[in-house]
Amino acid sequence: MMHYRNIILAAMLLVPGAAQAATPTPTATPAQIYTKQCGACHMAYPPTLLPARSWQAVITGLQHHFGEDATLGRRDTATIATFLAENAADGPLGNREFLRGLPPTMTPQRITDMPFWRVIHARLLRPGIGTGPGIRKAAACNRCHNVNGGGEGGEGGGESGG
Amino acid sequence: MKLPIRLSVTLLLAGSLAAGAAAAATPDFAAARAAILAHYAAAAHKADPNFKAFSAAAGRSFFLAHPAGARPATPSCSYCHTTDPRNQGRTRAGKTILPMAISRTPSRFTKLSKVRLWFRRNCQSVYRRACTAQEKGNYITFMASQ
Repeated sequence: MMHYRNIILAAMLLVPGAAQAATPTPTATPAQIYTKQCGACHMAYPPTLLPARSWQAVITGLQHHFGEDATLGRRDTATIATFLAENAADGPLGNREFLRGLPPTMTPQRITDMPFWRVIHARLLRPGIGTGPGIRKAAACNRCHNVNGGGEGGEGGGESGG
Repeated sequence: MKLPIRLSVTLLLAGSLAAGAAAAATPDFAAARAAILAHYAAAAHKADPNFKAFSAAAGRSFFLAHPAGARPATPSCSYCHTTDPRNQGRTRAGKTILPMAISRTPSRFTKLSKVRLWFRRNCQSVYRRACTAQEKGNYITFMASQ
């Protein structure tokens, strides 16, 4: 039987609203814009896995986003910032379960630095995970989880279009 | 503005291709890409009145170079795109990047907003500066030759 926590997690790993249409249109929803832009380089992480202050730090730091320039146009930046704030763990549409154990003074920018993540994935926290090639495994939830609508997969997600 | 002859011919060819493409109801990638190249050619000419034409060879060198000031995570364009742009690339986070070569991904360089976004980001990451119009045109010309 599937543990209730896994069921909740599986549901949470969906990016809200992103599953319906994979191809962004001129009237793309904020979820679609988030999935397209952020999902071009990495899995579009479910916003509820970080608190709003973390997403704010990510957005304001896009010029140096884990070593790369990941800046966006002004409009997309604003749309995605609002979307992330609303769906963050402590946002109106988020799930506060993911704040468990997080001190209010801590603003992690990596989901793998969130206490809930480290408890659940304790077995993965061996040397090699989180550094070097291992980070790809830890940063790609869909390696182990069945994640829909995260923009993952071999096709290239939002990078494919013209 | 007077376009270089080779570019004008390209534009004409793109125009005739456009008619055929419309009939076949396929996206008009060649014309869209020619328009983007014309945009960068105009900018390159403005920056340097002696500008003649873009160079695929220069674009190749630019693509393969390991600039001294590159950010450690992104030492070269070829670090993520591989040294052969006909290959699929891979982001540092492990996502597949479709080939940059036009022969493999015909939709490349057909939407100016997207082209601008990725040149801005990736030039800052690899070259730590904005790329010039000439460099961008060379890059696209190289990818169109692949």
